[in-house]
Amino acid sequence: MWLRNNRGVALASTAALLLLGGISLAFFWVPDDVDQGFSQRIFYIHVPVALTAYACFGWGAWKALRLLWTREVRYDLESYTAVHMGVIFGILTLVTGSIWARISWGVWWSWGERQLVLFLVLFLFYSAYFMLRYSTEPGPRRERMSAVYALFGVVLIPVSFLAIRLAEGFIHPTVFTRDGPQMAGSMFFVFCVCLAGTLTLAGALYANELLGKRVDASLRELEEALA
Amino acid sequence: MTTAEKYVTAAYLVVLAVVLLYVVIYAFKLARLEREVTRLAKLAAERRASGEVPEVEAAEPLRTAN
Repeated sequence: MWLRNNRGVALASTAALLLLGGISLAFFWVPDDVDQGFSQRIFYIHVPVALTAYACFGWGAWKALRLLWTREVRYDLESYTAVHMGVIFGILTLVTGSIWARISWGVWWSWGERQLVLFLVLFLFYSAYFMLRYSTEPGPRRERMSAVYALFGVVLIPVSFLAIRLAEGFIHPTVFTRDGPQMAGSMFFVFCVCLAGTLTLAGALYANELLGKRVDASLRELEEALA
Repeated sequence: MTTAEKYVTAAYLVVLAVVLLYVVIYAFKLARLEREVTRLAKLAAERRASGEVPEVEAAEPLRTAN
């Protein structure tokens, strides 16, 4: 019962524990990468954050599909909140990736890398979601338009994810192949802890943001009733 | 501290900074919601005093679960 009523608190506490543990292990326990040395440690935050951004956009698209399928209004707010979280994690992916690129490749950005450009396209696509949403009057039309847009964007996720494998002559490393993760067991363990931490953090932010938006909406209804 | 260590630390600090910024923005939002609740409660109390709104024993709790 307590867990049901305090989902945001439980998720935030779990996320804090997992991230603190994961980051500590990444800095003080895992060995240096043979190829990249100490700088490879960005992997433990950059990749989980990127996968979390994909997960948020995917969750937003799923909620959009539910809206179009059932016409239940609550899915509109849920889809919007998920896209909102996805954009936050998208910013983090771009910034941490850019820092990693600076250490490894000597440049902050490479326009020749399909993986990077496709992620930027995905990020800009979902950033435009807000412009579309706020340029339309609230109501069923806006809900449907937002849902269709969120669904279109999800098509870019597998393209962005697979781009690195489809690209020729890439410099972006491929860690996860058909043969499994190409790293030591300790590295993969820390990666999993950090991924669980970022996914839980996204869940906590999503739950709290959604709660805030629902309270906001309820207050507006109450204001109209009292007016 | 080597250059690589500085960049790696910067990457982790950026993530921390964004999360903290989000918490600050959310704190402002909560403060705004609290002001709204206070204003509406005051308005409801005024209406009740003037007899426009009937007394209610207990308000329905807000839906918080998904």
